[in-house]
Amino acid sequence: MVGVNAFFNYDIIILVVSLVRISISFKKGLNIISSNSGTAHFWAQRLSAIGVFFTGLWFVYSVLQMPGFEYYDALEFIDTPFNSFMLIFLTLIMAYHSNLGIQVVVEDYVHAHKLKLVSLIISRLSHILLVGVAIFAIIKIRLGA
Amino acid sequence: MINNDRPLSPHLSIYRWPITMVTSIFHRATGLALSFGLIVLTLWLFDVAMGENWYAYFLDIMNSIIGRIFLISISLAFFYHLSNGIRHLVWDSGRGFKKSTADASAWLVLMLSLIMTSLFWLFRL
Repeated sequence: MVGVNAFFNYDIIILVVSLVRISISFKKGLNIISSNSGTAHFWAQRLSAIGVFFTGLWFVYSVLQMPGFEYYDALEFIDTPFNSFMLIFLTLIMAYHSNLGIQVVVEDYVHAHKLKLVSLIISRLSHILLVGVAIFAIIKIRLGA
Repeated sequence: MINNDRPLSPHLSIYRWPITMVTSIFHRATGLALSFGLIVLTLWLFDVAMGENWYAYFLDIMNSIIGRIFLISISLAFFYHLSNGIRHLVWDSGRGFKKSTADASAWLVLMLSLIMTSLFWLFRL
């Protein structure tokens, strides 16, 4: 198990400590490192869930309030300071929560070491890409699409 | 002599899923579906940013049968994951683990997500 979880800790300090401990364990030829990230993952998932709860409800409310879904309806909805801020926050928190969830699914079902590592990296990069595209789109709309 | 006609544990042919198992599997499945939904939400933002032509294409897909099935499914997945997520947070506080309570909350979550989805589409139409 050495290696995989070190790359998916949430705290840069924990990451550095893990890397040091892993290098030590490699020198000793031992396989003694546990992930150290279980509790952090648990809390990250629960806290982001609360964020998803509120932004999700806001989004449902907003969709119900929208007069329609033609181009200018959508543009008008996104292009306000509050809504664009909320949409950026929503995509950030939802992508984060989604990344944590998919990580658990991958860890549950993918047992081959390298495939697991590759899957986790692809998942994380995809989520970062998603957030990047969303924020790019919102900023572009705010600047005048 | 062993009687091979007797059903084997866990008696798959007559096994009935506990409702709590159904809700647990649904939570994971809807979570994965919502991850896909987040891609579509991002595409929506992206297509608005790219202008009317891109957005018209997006709208065409969403107005098609497949688009409608997707939107209804994703709203159901959202309301399910939302209500079952609250159930999980209650469990995290150490409450609601009694078998009868867990069964009842499972049914409550299933009912609630159906009601919320119906209400959402009623108000939206």
